Amino acid sequence: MDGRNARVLPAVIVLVVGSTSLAAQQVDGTELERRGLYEEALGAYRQVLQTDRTNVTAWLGLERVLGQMNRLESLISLVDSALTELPEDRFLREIQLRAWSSLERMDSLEAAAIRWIQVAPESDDPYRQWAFALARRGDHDRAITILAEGRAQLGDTVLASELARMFASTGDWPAAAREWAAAVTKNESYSMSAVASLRDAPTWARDPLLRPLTPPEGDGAANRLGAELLVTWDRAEEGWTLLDSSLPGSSRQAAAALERFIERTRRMGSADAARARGYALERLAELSTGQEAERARLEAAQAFADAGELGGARRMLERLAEVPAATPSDAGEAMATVIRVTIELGRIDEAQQRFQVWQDRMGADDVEDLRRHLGRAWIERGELARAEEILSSDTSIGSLALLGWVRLYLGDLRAAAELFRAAGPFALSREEATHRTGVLALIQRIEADSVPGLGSALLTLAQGDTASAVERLDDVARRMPPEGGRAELLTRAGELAVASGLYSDAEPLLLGALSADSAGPAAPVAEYALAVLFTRTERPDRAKQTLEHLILTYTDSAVVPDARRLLDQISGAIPKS
Amino acid sequence: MRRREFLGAAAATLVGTSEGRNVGREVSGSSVPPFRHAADFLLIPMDNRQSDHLKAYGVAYRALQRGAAGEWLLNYRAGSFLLPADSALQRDAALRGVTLETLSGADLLNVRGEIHANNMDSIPLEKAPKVAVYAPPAAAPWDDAVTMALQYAGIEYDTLWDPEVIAGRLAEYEWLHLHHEDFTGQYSKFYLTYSGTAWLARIVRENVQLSRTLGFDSVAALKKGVARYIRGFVEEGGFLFAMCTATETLEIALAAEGVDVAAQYSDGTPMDSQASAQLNWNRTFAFRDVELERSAAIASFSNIDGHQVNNPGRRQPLGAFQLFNFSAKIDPVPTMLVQCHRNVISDFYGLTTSFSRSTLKPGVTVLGEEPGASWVKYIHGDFGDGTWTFLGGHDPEDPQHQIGDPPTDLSLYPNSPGYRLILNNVLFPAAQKRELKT
Repeated sequence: MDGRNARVLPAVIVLVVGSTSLAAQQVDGTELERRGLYEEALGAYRQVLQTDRTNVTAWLGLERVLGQMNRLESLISLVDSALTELPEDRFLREIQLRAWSSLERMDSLEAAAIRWIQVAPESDDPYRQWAFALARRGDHDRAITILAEGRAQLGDTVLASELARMFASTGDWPAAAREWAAAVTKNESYSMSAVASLRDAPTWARDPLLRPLTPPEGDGAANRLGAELLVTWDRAEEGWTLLDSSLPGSSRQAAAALERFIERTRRMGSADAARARGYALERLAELSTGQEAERARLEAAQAFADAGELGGARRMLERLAEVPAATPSDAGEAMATVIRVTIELGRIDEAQQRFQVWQDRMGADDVEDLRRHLGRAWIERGELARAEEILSSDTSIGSLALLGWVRLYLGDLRAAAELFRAAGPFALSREEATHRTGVLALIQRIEADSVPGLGSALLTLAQGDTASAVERLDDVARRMPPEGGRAELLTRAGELAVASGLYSDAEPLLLGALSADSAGPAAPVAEYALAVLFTRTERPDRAKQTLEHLILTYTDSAVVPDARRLLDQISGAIPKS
Repeated sequence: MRRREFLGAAAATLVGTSEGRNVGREVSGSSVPPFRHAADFLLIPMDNRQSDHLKAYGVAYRALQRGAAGEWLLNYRAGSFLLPADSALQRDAALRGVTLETLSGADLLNVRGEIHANNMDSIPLEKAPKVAVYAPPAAAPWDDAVTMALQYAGIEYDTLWDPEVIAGRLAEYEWLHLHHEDFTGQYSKFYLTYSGTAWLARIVRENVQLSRTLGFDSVAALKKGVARYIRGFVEEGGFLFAMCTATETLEIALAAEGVDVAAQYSDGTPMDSQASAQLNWNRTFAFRDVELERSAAIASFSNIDGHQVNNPGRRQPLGAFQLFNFSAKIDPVPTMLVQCHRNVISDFYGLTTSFSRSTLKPGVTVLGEEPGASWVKYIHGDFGDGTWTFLGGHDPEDPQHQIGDPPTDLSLYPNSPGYRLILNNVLFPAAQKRELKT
């Protein structure tokens, strides 16, 4: 160590020791305050300030402790003393205003604010802090006057965000919107605060509020603020139109505005928001390149599909398909959604074509599910061969069940029964499984292996034409042996007729069923359907007689509890449901 | 059978038991006179093997109506019924889904032996009581648990209202039910809360017209008159069963002879400021020293109700109540009233949900209570030659029944223990006097 270093070293050591001591006092002050030892904490903070007049932590500690001890007045004298040395210190001036405000000494507050303005005439801080002190006391009108005065002194757009918040607090939404428009035009990063401030405007105030944020009154950043606000009010499509016409020329700024807009639409669950998000993502994709662009297109496709906007979804996916190598791996998922929606719209051919092109890029679950969707759609349309074609390459229990329906509607009862059995009781929905079991029980009673007329009648029923289905079932039933399916088919036809209000058709069908086989499993079902028919046609005595016969004759039948319930309703024992 | 006859029957049972009858003798003896061959019997079990407890009462009731003589086997398989086998009974049970068991001679002997050796008894049932329900002619927007139970079980009843009561027609019946009626004439104190509703306007209009037609100054005066007739019915040997607010308001109306306890909206004059102090509880069945609720805006009548469902700040939460286990051979009447396959039952609100212990008269029999609570749920007592039974709450299967709610579908609650208590009361008057052993 040379002589120069030897001289420097003691000073360094003193500084370090001094700093350590100051930090320790602050910690001590906070710890003492935390333990409720306010007097001791006060001493510790004061000691820090003797060494460092600008120590923010110590000043804040003093403010807290003296506030707790109801001795804020002594803070004023300390601050005044410090301000004689540091008259422009912003932090000390703020503490002074807060202290006068807490002491409810509004005259002193005003005098202190005016002194601050005099020593810092170029600063907007005195106006802001003065106005905030007034607003905290609920005097928003005076706060607005102070801020306006500050603006008059300092320039047109000064204190815009503060004025906007004050106007919003007083319910003057158009004025608040005008100020926010000025604030975001100056600095667009204010837009999040602006939306948060304006989104709670009541519905009646929204359109007047939008005027400064839409052409011709507003432009650029103000329009983009308007667009975001519209999304929060669930008017996303209007928002998109506004944003689309006001995107900045710079790609980077435009992308930032689009991303903010997209983020807001994600928080809204409506189809309108999904559609607007789709458009915004599409535009973002145009501004981007590579994987980023493809990712945006994929998300746009999903958004369009969610909105039921198939054209948009298709447009996005086609662009993706042009560059399969760049296609993100989850594009298949988005396409699966599009195909499902296409099926729901009844465009089965188109859906199948798209499925064939995309199935290699989809997950196994989506492929299986779409096959079933397509198969079911072809069945409902009556194109059984096409249904069989798409389903036959899948061995899942769901597809087996659907193939069972195909064979049933073709009249191939034996194959249908085998497929239903193979599918088991858990394939597809619970409701469909119950329906399948009922049909299985019906066809098992029929002796013939193939009855095309029955298949055709049941398909007619599945397609929603109950009246024709009843006629066809009746026709098929008459050609069956009495105990080899006739009673079951007539019962089914009768039940359908009762449910559809075809009462004059129902009675002979059900009586025919009972006449064909009064001891078989269909008999109690036919009697119950007859009782329902008698009830609906205002013949309660006959209904009662039929139900009593059913209950006493077929004691083990599954319809007995239903029969008892109907009997109770007819006799007024329970309310009619 | 009126109460006086029934007490004789109970005494006979007691004498028989104290004489140490053996089972064999009892079976062949005169204590079960109608039955000679055990194979002729059908048992309606009332324990958990019964598929529809509520309809079982109806099956037993109709058997009595057809002239059969049966027995109520108290505490035997939760209060089962023994009836002579006949095809009509079997058909009735089959139609309604009520479980029946056939008993052989050996089976019946075992049953008798079990009854003799345990806290059980056999009470003869002979005559289906004639049942009346006190109910307004037009439906109110709330359900009536007893009417629903009677309808579900298929027990016939007649409906009576003020004109029939004033005309003295109560004497034609053995059993009378009161439900959600307000005998203070204050329209259940819904007058302010439901002001402007069509149903309340109709009820007020009809009651005012009726009171004028029957020659009373006000609805409150008419209801007090009806309450007196009801007291007379019990005094003469009738069986009274009341639920919900009918219990509390009947008592207040009886105690308030000559005292104005009705709010101004009801009779044109405010309630007497000293009304509580002027009430005469010597005239009532169950309660004493009651403080009336003086606010017309609170749908509560007094401190009789322990739960105060419509009294903010005093409302108590629902718990569960426990049925008392009486000695069947010594106390057959309360034993009959608590026959149930469940000993603890979930509580249910009503305008009057429960009865404060502090307001009960000495001598009132508590049938069901919430242990540790300052209220009881189910009480019974004698008055003159008759008996009364009060059950708090509105609908045992709809614990918070609201005005306008749909009626409870009892086919969803065929084993309801709360509804069983109601139906115990209907069959209780069917209990027949047994001949004294000589």
